Formats: sequence, structure tokens, C-alpha cells
Amino acid sequence: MQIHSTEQVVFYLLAVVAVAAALGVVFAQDIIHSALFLVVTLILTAGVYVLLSAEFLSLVQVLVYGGGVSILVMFAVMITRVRDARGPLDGAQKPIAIVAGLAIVTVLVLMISRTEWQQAIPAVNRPDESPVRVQRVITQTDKGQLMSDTDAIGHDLFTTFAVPFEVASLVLLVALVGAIYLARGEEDEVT
Amino acid sequence: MNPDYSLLIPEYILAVWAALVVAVDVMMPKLRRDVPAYLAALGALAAGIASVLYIDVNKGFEAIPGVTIMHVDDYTTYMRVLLCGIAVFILLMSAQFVRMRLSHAGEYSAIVLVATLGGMLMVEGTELITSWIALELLSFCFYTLVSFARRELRSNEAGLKYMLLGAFSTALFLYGLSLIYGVTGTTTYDGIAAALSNRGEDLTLALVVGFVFIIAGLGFKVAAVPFHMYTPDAYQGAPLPITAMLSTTSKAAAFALFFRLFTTAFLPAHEEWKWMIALIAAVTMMWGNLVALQQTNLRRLFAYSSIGQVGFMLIAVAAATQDAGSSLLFHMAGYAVTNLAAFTIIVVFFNREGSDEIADLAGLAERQPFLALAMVTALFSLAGMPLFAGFFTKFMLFVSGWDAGLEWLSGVAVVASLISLYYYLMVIRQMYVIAPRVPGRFRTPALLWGVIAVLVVGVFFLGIWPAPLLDAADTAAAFLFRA
Repeated sequence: MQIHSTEQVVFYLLAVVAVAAALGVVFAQDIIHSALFLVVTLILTAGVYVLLSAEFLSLVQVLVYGGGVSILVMFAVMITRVRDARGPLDGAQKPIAIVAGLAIVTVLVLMISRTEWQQAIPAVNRPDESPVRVQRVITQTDKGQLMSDTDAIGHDLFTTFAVPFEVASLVLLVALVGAIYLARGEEDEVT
Repeated sequence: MNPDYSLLIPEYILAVWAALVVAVDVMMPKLRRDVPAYLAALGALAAGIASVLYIDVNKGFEAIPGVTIMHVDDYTTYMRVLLCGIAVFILLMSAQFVRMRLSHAGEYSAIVLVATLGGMLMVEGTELITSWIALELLSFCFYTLVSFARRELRSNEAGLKYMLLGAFSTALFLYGLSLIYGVTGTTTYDGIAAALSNRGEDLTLALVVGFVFIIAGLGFKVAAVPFHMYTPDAYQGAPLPITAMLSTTSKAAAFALFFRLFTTAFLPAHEEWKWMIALIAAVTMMWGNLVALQQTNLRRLFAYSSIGQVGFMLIAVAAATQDAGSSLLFHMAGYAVTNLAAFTIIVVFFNREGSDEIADLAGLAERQPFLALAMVTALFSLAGMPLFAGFFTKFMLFVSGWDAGLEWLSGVAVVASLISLYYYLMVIRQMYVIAPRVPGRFRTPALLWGVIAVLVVGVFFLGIWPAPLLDAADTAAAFLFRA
């Protein structure tokens, strides 16, 4: 393996630690440790997004997964009695799961390496030799201006995807109503 | 140029009406608890009427020039009217049920309307992200509705199972979509079709993996075997009218999306996914109908029977021809009418007796002859007996499969259909041959009597004179294959 650029060094560093932490999630005996390992994996994934010049995605990843989701997991662990249920969480299906997991990994690796993926976004500044493609993503607006990733997402969200964006607000509304209805105590109920 | 926002008027009506129903419910706490459902039914009716106005409109919703994220054509109109019609009947059968067994009638009715709105968006979406978010809207509504009877453990269990598996299937579906996007570089159906028809050799593996994920994700949503595990529990635990909705709205909308996605965007790669769907169809219809044989609970019986029906409908997706499209639309309408009739009967029985066991139907013919007779009609239609809606719709479906070169699949379907006759007949035997366990006749409430009568007439109408609806379905399907 030849190292061509700083980005590559950073990438492999991130990748190795992220995978190690992911293994930690699965193999840790204590659920709190699993949750902490999960946070590490999620934040390092944000690092990979930065390398891909998807800075908005990486920010969202840190905010939503590094912040929101991990706190949610912690709360769930704290409020429920899941910590009392120690011991291995896998059952008799373990061998089948291993075979299925390996099969999926094989197929995915084959697929990812064999496919000539579309370059949907015109990328510039791509080091030609680097196997890890580091690209500066710059999109053009319809008026021909160059935009950064964050600008482009904002632009698309309020032009092309304005209707799906509004529908997303309906989804949130339904989720909110449902969550409040299901979680709230009945008027005559002692909670 | 701005997109043509007037194409979405039925959706606006549903959204505003849903808010209105909640507001009325909040403002008037003294309101009887069945009123919001009737009010919401009016809204669904209004949206249905507004949808009819779009007959023969054929226009894309261009968010920006060249990017059509939704398309209003006769296919959309047909499904919109069907979904609104289903919502009206669901709400009518809900009213008494909600009053007796649930709290928060306003939220319940509003979410039913929003679910219908999600279904309509699924039908008209011609862009992956739009279709996906619409699918999510429908799913979120159902996560809430399935667990709406929150004091009942079964309902909680059903809601949790449905939500966990639903979230899992969404992840699969999205991963599949991302692969397709990676291969084609676009998310619009037209763009994908164009990219797929002049693709290079090296794309096949990525496409096949993408299709596998998409089919698995949608398979969960329509409850095809082997992704059906949650179905019986969800059907049994959900409030009864919601069970009816799961088996009609959710299936109709998901199949409409399935068919539009695969026949417009993925048609150039038909060879790659045809065998997958055909295989799933065969397994689904056999498994659903065989497991249904051993059920003792009416709702679980209908869960497996609906899984069997999903197998039949998948034939049309595998065939992916215009004839298959029109018979799929036709079958969906027939199935919806029949299933709504059956579930309204079960709701009436459940409101009165509080039971949904098949054994408790014993002697229904003596206790309430009208319900028993209506149930026989519905069951014969589901089994596909001549004169009833189910015969014609299934027949068309099997023929379209045969014509598309899936002779073996149509053969399996006929066998599965024969098996299904057995367990439908078992229910009929229970009602007509076995003596009643509890003596005493009872009456069907006037409104639900009317609803059942209308639906039963519908079943006969489609069975005896299918031409008008079949023509409509034909015109609707033609729009997908106009290119």
C-alpha cells in the first residue's frame, strides 16, 4: 500500500479507529460501553465526510448522531433497566448470522470495487493517482455561479425539493402527535 | 417559472382538513367522540371529489425546469380516488369503534387523513426522494395508529414490532436508492430510465444489489414473504379499523409506488429484477395461503389472506406490462371493496361481542343473517368465485402474468387460490353449520348496515359488470407506458 497524500493518512487513521470502535459496540459486555463506542464510530464517520468535502453532512452527523442520538441512547439506558440484563445478547442464530454477515460484506466489497460510479457532481482538484478520491465538491447553480456543498444543499432544498421538504414537516408533525399521545399519561391515570 | 401548485389541491384539502378536525376536537371538548370521524370522512370525500376533477389531466410537477418530482395523470387520479374512497369507509367504520374503545378521536381521524395524503403522494411521486418521504409519511401515520389502543398490550406490541421492522426496511430501501443513484447519477424516474437504457457492462452487480435492497424494503411495506413476520401481530394488535386500513390503504399505495417505480424507472433493467419479484410472488402466495389454513383468529386469518393477495399482486409487478398494470389497478379496487366489506362486518361483530375469534362466529347466520350473508359475499370474492369481484380481478391478473411469459407463476397462483378457498369455507361453515354459542339475535346499526350494503353491492357490481372500472384502469395504466 502506497501513501500518496495527507488525506490518505487521515483517512486510514479514521477508518481503522472507526472499525475498531464498531467492533467494540458489538463485543462490549456493558451496554454503556457499547453506547460510548457507538458515539466514537459515528463521530469518526463525520470525519470521513469531511474528507469527502461533504462538510454539511459531517456537521449534521456530529449534531444529530454524535449529539442527539447518543444522548437518546444514554437516556434509554438510564431510564430502563437494560443494564441489569447482563451477559451475551446473541443466541443460537450466531453461526447463521456470521455467515450472512460475511456474505453481505463480500457482495458489497465486490460491488463497490467493480462498479464505475457516476460522478454526478462536477469535481475539481482531484488528485489523479490517489486511490482515495479526495474531491472538492463545487456545484453550479442554474445561473452558472459556483457553490459550496452547504450552499448547494440549501439551494436544492428550497427549489427542487421544496415539496418533499414540506412533506417532511408533516412527517415530523405526525411523529410528534403520535409520540405525545403514546407517552403521555391519561387524565385519570396516576403516573 | 414556478411549478404548477394547483396540481396538488386534493393534498391541500386533506392536510387542511386534518388540522381542522384536530382543532374542532380541541375547541369542543363536549363533542361526542364519534363526530370527528364523520367530519374527517367528509374531508376524505371532498378530496376524492377534487381528485376526480383531474381526469385526463396529464401534467408533471416540475420543481425546477426539467426535474419532474411528481406526475398527475390518470394513474394518479385512479389511485387518488381509490385511496380517498377507502379513507371514507375506514372513517365510517371507525366512528362507533373509536367512541367505544379509544380516546383522542380527533387525532385518530386526523392521522387517518394524513396517512391517505401520504399514500396519494406515494402514487404520484416520480422522483426517489419525493416517493421515499411520502412512504415515510404513510409509515409514521401507521406506527401511531397501530399502537393507538395504548391500554391494550397487544396494540403496544403490534406498534413496536411494526415500527422496528418498518425502520429497518426503510434503511434497506434507502440504501438501495443510494446505490441506484450512485449508478445513474440522478433521482428522477425519467433520468434513471434513460441512464439504465445506455449503461455499461460493469454496472450489473451494483444494480442487482440495489434492486435486492429496494425490493426487500418495499417487500416489508407490502408484507411479502419472507418480510411478512410483523403482519399477523400488527393485524391482530391494531385497532380493528386500522387493521382494515393496513390491508387496503397501505397495500394499495405501496403497490402503486412499487409499480410506477419499476415500470417507469427500472423498466430498462427488467431482466435483472423480473426473476426476483417472480420468486417472491410465488413464495408469498403459497406461504400466505398455507399458513392461513391453521389460523383460529379472524384477524390473523385476514393477515395471512392479505399476504396471499400480495403474492397475486406481485405477479403484475413482475410482468410489468400495460395489461398487468391495468389488472393490478383493477384487482386493487376489487380487493379494497371486498376487504372493507369484510372488515366492516368484523367491526360490527367486535363492537357487539368484543371477540375476533373464528369460533365465536358460530351460528352467526341465525343470530344476524344479514352480516353472515354479507360475510359470505366478501369471502367468496376473496377466494375468487365467479359472479363476485374477486373472480374477474384475479383472472385478469393471472392472464396478464401468463401473457408476459410467467406461465409457471400463473399456475402457482391458481393452486394458491384453490387452497385459499378452503379456509374461507371454514369461516362460512362456522357461521352457517355450527350452532350458536351465545343465543339471541342482534341488529346491525343502521349506518354500518348501509355501509356494508353499499360495499356488498360493489362486490357484485365489479363481478358482474366490470367493464366501466376495467376501462378506467386500462386508461390509467396506459399512462405509465406511453413512452
